[in-house]
Amino acid sequence: MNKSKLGLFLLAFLLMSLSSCKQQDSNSKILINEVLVNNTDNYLDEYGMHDGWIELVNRTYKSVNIAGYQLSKITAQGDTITYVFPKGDTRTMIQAKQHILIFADANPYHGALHASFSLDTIGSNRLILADAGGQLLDEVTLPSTLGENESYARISEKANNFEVRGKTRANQVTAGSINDLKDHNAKANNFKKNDKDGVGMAITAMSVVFTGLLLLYLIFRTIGNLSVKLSKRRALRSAGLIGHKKEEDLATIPGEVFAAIATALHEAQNDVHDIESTILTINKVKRSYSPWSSKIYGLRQTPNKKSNPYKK
Amino acid sequence: MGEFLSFIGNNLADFWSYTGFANATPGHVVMLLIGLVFIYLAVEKEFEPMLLIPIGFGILIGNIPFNMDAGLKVGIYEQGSVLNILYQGVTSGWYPPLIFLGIGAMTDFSALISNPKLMLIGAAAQFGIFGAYMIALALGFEPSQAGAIGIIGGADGPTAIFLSSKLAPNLMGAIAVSAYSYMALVPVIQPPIMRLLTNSKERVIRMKPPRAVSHTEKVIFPIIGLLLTCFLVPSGLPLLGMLFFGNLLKESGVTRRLAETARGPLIDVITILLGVTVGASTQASEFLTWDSVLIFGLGAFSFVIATTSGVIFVKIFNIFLKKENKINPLIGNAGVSAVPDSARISQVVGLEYDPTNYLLMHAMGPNVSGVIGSAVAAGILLGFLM
Repeated sequence: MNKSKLGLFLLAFLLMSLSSCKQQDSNSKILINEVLVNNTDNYLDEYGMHDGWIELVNRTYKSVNIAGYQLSKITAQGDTITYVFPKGDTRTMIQAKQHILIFADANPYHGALHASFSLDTIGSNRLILADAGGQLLDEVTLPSTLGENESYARISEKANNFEVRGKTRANQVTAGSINDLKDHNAKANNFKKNDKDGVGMAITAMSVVFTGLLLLYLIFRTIGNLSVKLSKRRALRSAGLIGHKKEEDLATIPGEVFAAIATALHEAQNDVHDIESTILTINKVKRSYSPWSSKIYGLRQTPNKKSNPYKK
Repeated sequence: MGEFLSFIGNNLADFWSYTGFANATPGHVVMLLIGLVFIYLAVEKEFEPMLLIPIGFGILIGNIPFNMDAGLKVGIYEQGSVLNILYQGVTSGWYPPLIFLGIGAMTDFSALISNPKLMLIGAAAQFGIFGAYMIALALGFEPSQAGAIGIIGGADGPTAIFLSSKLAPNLMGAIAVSAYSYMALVPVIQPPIMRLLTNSKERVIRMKPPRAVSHTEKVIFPIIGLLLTCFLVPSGLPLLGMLFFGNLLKESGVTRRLAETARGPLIDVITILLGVTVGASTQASEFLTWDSVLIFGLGAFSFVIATTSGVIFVKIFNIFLKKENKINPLIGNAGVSAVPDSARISQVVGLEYDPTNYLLMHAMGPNVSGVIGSAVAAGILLGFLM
């Protein structure tokens, strides 16, 4: 019966766990973050060339090596060109929350971050990113209306929506950096601006500290009361006093009294400490010395108290 | 022959330029003296010797003058040096949680579980942190720096190091040394405040003896403590998680070996590494600044506020308590989480006024709740300011 109850409980727990799990999002790790097709005055590659580029972002909190990953371009005619990132090149490692740029110059001999295709400045481009096993990670179709030095970028690294960038100064292309450029010390600056004397922080933080410890107090007061009641009840039950008319009175007697009575009864019943033997024999114990059994290697030195610093 | 002598002379001059004597500055001498004072206080006065010996000697190690341009890779701030590698535990913040693991494995929360209202005293004493935070802001420190300085008032060395490594790494040496110095000076700072704020009647209040706490309660405490505090302040997870984990190892009764390792060899090793590297991080060029002087002043101030708020809170709390449940305000100072020193102060001061009134077991309640409170406060500061 107990086993079947346990089995049902485990099954219910498993079902709850499964229902609470979100479906694994295949686009959650490495994404295409920003693409610039027609580069005439933007980021230069290491050869000093203005090439179109594709920015990838690692959204995780750990480094990811994209060696073996596949970046494909599908032209308006339906032709697919795939570039596979080479293995054994350290530049394919994207650090946590960081970006890399892949230059679309159709010249992979220029390095691991140079794709084997270029982007079409006329017509649309469709880009597909897949992992080393061919599983789709991200797919972006670029609008054909992108102008010179304009990029198609996610609104932020967390967003799924894209926007055209580079048309205004306020909405610039962000090659190799975060799309949503914001104040990274916003919280501290917010406190600096709105809580100059720190009173707000003190009130908020102390409220949280008190709330936490107050909740802990309430929970353990309840648990303590329950525990005391249970232990008294157990003691009464073991003494066969449940239902006794003096049960209530007995329940108020502290545990120490029961302990003292029990000890006295035990000593009386077992004739403990009646007449002790007056003969004490001490046998000398001889042990052959060995460093393995030596206590001096296993024991700490006895603390040597010198003086009490707290004594006036 | 003359050429050879000139060669020898040049070599000796070269050697001289590498020695500490040639590179010493007055700053080095000052820091070496501070290190020696720490060692003296530890050996002669027995003030927190477990901390002051490693830190004091670390100050000596960190302030041996040498030629910084020689690329010898000996300084703590030189990437790849042995000291620098050991210092990573401080800068990356993984020594403090391991210390908390050990603290959890050696702390008995029974006093707190048997009388849970003592938890609130631990919360009240955290006013020291935010009092120092406000003063630091007034003195012109940035909010993140003020938060790191304020945590000195939590009287918890590992927490202070953990928070300052995240919020103000450049002030960490001064903050750590200040926190440990004042923890060692708790016997000097707290008693006058306790006497000043209490009257003769309050000092002899006898508290009800704590009840026996069951094994089940002891096992439940770290689990509920973790879930509750970390759901409230997830940023405190590294410290609180390890503290309660260590305590569960101790109280579960089935992981004795693990608990003994955590509270014995592990915490000893980490204390040695933490103490020496924090001490060594106080290189004169980094440490002897006006900011350090201010931090020391603020540290003292935060301990005073924390002690005051703990004692006053008990006095206010007593107004609402029945006569038989009154709390002796002399345990209010123990909310400052310098475990177990501030609890010992309650005992010593209490015995001065009533030689048969033992307050130690009662004071341990607010003392350990102060540890939880300061870790929660650190989590809040981290969440707000980072």
